[in-house]
Amino acid sequence: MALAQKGDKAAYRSLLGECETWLRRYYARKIGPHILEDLVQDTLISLHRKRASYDPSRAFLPWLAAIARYRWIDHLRKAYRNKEVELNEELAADPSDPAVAAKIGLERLMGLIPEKQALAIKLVKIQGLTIAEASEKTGQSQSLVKVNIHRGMKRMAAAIEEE
Amino acid sequence: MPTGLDLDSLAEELTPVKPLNAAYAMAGMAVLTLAGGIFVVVTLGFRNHFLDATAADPMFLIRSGLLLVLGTASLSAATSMARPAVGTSRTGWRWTTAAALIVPVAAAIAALVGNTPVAERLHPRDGMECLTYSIGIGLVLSAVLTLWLRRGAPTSPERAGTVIGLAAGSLGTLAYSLHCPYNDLVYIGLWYTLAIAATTLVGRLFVPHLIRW
Repeated sequence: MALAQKGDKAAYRSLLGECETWLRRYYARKIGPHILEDLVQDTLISLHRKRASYDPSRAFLPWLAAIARYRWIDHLRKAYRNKEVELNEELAADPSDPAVAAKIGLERLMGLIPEKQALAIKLVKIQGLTIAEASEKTGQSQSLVKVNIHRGMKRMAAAIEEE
Repeated sequence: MPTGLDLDSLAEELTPVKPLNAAYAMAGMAVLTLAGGIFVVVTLGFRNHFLDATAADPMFLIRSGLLLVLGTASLSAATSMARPAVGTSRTGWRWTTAAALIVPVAAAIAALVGNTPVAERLHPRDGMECLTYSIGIGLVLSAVLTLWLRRGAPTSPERAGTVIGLAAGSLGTLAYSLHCPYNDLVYIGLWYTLAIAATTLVGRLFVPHLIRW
């Protein structure tokens, strides 16, 4: 990325390819597959537009993960609940560095919020269930599901840079 | 499965960028604060007897130090937010704010138990001048800092807005304090707190829309 900031197009093209692969794994099972490609694309565009915000004296992955988390929450806020979604089981979290992946992963971010909020978000925002279906599945009232989603999203948005 | 995005075209569009430098932003804000202080001194004059013993009045030194530390801590947090990274902790500004809140709390207690009537300690006319100058300079600082932060990637626009308002208000009040002739805790606890609270509220309400990306 430091080379890209200096205008090295070849290095940048190579980085974009690597990031595309990494992001697809990063978002795996954390967003409906019909949204996945849009989300990866949006994140790459954000990376491009905000490349001046990368500090070349620091590690690249935590910066990319912060951009990726921000875009992910932005996408979760949009409603997908009426669309049919199937989780793509072929995609798995990046296994190349499990320790780093665990610290910066989306699972970690969801782990920062109470279990009930994470469950409501997972069912409605990621798996695409309706509020009524999520209510039935969790035993929470419909209004509680909505409140849990709202609070959970707010808490996660505030914790994007937390490990 | 490739995305619909043409990575070759994106790479071809690449132009060199200068990485955001928080130190430059902080230096720029320091210069603007100094300019604000000069503006206050030129238009209102130094505080009474600035160059004699009152310049070393403990309250003047304490309030200036507190405003400087609060402004620096929140400015440091705001500039750091331009360059996000998972694993970054920014809690310094919260602790500094908590420490600074001792002033209005102590002022409230002093107002309640003091012998002098509170009305005689507030000097509303001067208080309004304090608000006007502190908030006015603070808003200029906020605008400049917001413009700079728009180039960055703050992941929590609401928090960034709050911290920008807090930093700008603290530094704006610091600039005005060069003129402020009062050393009374009650006066400072009310008007200075109101000025900083106002810019912080403005930052929280209006800045997030401008820096969201």
